[in-house]
Amino acid sequence: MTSALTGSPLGIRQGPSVVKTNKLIAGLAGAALLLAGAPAFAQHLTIGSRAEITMDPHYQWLASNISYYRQIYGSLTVLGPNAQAEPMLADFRKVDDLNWEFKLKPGVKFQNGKPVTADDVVASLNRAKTLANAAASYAGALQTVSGIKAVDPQTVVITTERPNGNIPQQLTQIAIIPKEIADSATRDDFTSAKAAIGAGPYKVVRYRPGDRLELARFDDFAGPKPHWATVTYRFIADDAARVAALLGGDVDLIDYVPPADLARLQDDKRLAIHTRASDRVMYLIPDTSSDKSPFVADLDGKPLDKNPLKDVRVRKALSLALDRDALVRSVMDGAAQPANQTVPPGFIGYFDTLPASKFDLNEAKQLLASAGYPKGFQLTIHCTNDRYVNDARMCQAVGQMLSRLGLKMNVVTQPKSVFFTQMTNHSGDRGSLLLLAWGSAWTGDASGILNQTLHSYDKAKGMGTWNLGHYSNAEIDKMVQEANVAIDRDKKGGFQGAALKAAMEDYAQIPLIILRVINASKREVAFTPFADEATPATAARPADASAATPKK
Amino acid sequence: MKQSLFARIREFADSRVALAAGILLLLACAAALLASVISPQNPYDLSQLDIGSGRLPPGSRSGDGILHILGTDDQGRDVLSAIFYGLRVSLVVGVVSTLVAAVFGGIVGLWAAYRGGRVDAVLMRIVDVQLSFPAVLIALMLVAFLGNGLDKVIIAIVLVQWAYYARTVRAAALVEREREYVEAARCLNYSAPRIMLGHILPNCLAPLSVIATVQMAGAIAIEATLSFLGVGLPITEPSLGLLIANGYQFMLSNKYWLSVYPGLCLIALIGAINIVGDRLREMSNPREEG
Amino acid sequence: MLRLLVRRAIEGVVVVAATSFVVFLAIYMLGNPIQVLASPDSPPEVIQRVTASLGLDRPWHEQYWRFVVNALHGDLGVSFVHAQPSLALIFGRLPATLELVVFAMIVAVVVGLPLGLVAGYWPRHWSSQAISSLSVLGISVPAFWVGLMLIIFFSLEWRLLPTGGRGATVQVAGIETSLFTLDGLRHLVLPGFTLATLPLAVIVRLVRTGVREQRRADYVRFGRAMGLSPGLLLGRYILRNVMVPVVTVMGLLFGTLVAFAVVTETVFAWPGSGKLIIDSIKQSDRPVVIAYLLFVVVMFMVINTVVDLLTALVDPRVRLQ
Repeated sequence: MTSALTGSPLGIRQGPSVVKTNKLIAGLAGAALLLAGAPAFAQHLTIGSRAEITMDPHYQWLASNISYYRQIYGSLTVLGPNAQAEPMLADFRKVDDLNWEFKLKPGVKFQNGKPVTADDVVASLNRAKTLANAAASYAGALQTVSGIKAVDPQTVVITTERPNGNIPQQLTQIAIIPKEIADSATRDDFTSAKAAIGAGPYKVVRYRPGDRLELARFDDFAGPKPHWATVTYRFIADDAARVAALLGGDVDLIDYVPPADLARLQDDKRLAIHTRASDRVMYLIPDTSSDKSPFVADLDGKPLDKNPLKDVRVRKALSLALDRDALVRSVMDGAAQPANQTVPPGFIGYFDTLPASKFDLNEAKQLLASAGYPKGFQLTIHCTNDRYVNDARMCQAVGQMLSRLGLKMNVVTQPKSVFFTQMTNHSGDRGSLLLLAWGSAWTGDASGILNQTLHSYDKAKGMGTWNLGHYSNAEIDKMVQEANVAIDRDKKGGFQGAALKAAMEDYAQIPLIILRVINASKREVAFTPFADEATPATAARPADASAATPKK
Repeated sequence: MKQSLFARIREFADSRVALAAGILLLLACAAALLASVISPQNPYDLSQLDIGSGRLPPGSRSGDGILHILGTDDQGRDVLSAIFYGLRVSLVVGVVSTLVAAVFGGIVGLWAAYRGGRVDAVLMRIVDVQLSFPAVLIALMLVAFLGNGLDKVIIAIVLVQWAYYARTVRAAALVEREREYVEAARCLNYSAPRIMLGHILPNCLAPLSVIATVQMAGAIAIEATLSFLGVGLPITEPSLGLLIANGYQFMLSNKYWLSVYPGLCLIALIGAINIVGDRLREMSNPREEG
Repeated sequence: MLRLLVRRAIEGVVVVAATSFVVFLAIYMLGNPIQVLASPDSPPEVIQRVTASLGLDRPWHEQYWRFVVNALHGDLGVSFVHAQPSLALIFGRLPATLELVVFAMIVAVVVGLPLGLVAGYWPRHWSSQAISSLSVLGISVPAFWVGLMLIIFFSLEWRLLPTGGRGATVQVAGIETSLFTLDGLRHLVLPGFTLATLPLAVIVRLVRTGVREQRRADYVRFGRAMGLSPGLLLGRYILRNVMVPVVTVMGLLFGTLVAFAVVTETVFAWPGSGKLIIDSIKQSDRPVVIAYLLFVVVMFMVINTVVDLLTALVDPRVRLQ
């Protein structure tokens, strides 16, 4: 299983000028590598990571934080590389439709030597749910949970307000800490690493804010023993700086490799690339609800009397005008694949038999003409420029392709803080065409995309929060709700798939590409990449001799 | 002062370096003005771009037959055309924001120095506050309220830079104020504006012009930095700074032309502005030896 | 002197109050940050509850009043992202920025002052022309580009220096600093020089201009006629007279570099306050943004006061008022 996930080489062509300089640098660097030697390397790993850790494990709900917590604190369940929940500190089973039992594995210990008990679990979950001041609260990860009870010192029963098959997935998000710390620790205790005590395979040695996190192996960890005795995470937010750190030999492994640098890294004999499909699909959201869309106009800039995006023919024309292969090749440097739905393959709810997205500019133009816009219209596409891989470049490329369709395109890219504030304003003007990417890892199925982005916007029920085009389809809503209470995987998958198919056929969303996770390391390090872009040291190990032979 | 224009140009051209810089600057201005005529492609028109011809190395020909002397950027924009258009944007940003900031800041600085006392204290505290706002934050807020755009960038740069002029002019004017000729002018009952503009200002021009040339370079660099941080100009109409910032992402993959050519162009532009500014100052300042 | 300080202190309070008001109002107008901060998978009721628990649903004047009351108790709010009081966060990051800025300023003065003096005293000499051209270059290249070029050559091509990050630190007078370890200095060189490009160029140009003006002054001509050596003239007399604008500008640059080290710190993954503030802006971490701005305002006022005092010291013609 693992071997299939790692290092599938991407077919990337090189211009002649690329090779020349690379050789020069590789030659110089190769000499330095020989001097560096291997012994120290075998025990210590330095990871260059894009995201910094928030030390308090119940303060900020973010996938990048959980990537750290799973090693330090541990959780009842943990996400595997394919974004499916696996038992970590506890084994779990479904008692009935509303109750789940979690039994702590024998011998599970905190890093202070005390055993992990059901009380610790209850205290941790409650803290995650209610921690004061937590702006990005973990409460959302415990949605539908109505009761958390310690039945005996080893067993916790979790009760839900409605049948919810996603409970094991949801519990991958919550770090477990000792009860006394959960009850009394202050924020400073976590920052100074005094309270940073968990049940994971690594202990915190030192945390230097903004700079690095130093970890040491916890030898009494009950699960599989990780290879590295010590691990240092260096926080390097800038893409180029992170790649440079790997090229310069300052770090052994990096995450979020920018696709533009992939060719060069692949060319470098000292390095290895680890890549797999991510959980994230990039897609367009048309404004399907407004009668007059705020960023649509006729070719002279005058407002149109109706919203062309409400017409499914126009939405289909947009989709047909997009050459996804070209997007993959030219924007993503091959590190993506064309998408035909907004959930990636392998996730529950993915609809297998949906045909691939077609590119046919002529048909698109005909459709646009038949919808009454033979000459096109003016349209603005809004995107972030600091949220997703290559988001701003993707935005421009989409703009190009739609302008070939005859539309007069304006491309607006904004920082995420500006973009999301404007676009999540459900009562005001948002946008007419938006670019977003949705990751489905933490649920492992289509429930996130369906509940949050496709179900009709309903504030009271908490549905459609990210349905930014206010798409609304009663049939789809019904299927989504049925999927939510289905616990059986196949049944749930069936409802989700049907809902997703209906939405795609109605062009409620226009899927673009499935992103790829790209990690890069020194050749001596092997790594299993994760769909949710986690970069835990536990997934890294020394490459065996056969894998370490030069690629060329 | 009554010199013929020709004579002044002759005097300017005494310095070979200044002459070369002047010609370079004129060429840059011409290129900016004529961008739409001399460019092989309109890099701001999305429908003329083809992402399939992105990142072509210098000297290659794209599908539609255009020869890309300096290659293309990631969106298939002809780098040479983008430089001509970008030159225009950068020049507008630099010149307009410098002028507005210098005039505004200079007046504030003069006023503060001349009046002294409470006026000075209040104005200088406003300057302090002004200087304490990071340019990026101002720009980010403006973008939040108004959206990206050239005008917003210029406003942001003026708001960041005027205080430098105010402080510098004030510092110079404080020294000037104590001189005998100002005392004399006061005794003659000259009006305050007349003393400030007619007598103190000319003597503050040297430091002001040093700051102005530095700040014009700074204005263009701030614009580039805002682009680097993702706020500022619309991404489809790149300035030189934005071109560099975009190309920066491809430096490590050896696609140097995306960033290096606009970079060299920017350096040449700012260098020329500074050298010409220096020369003009030498000529206008009788206290300096050539 | 004392009067000046007292007056500055009073003014300082007014300025800080005014700044806090303006900043608070501006940031308030940006909308509810929880929308951006919360995980997209959070249901609206969680977002609503969190918004209410942080008091962000109250009218702006109520929020401001609460902020003022807390601030008077020394509490400028807790970071939405880092789970730490924002002031502690800023002070925790400050040493890293300060050592970077100090290093850059030392480079700028040690290199810039002599170059400026030489270029100003012998303006026609080829070396002066070269110095001037280089100073032009220094202010022309964007910092992030300088930084990346330095990394490409010094770290990747020649493998002389690390690509980024802060080196080993030692405790000196209670402060963690990397200025006194070899590893620390190795890490400091590239970002330090990147940050020094601008102040270096500014100082060279300023000093050069000043010297050129002073050269024609009577006292210099007199000194020359008396046969004083250029070194003595420059070092003893001219320098004193060109120092006023230099001190002014240096003071400004110092504060600016502290506040604006954003780019250098980003490119070199330097764990300083510049990186903190840009990250905070991007992440809508408002308590940190507000605290940082107030901190910067205070810092500037202190620097300006010091600059005024120094100006008076080096040039008695300037009156303190």
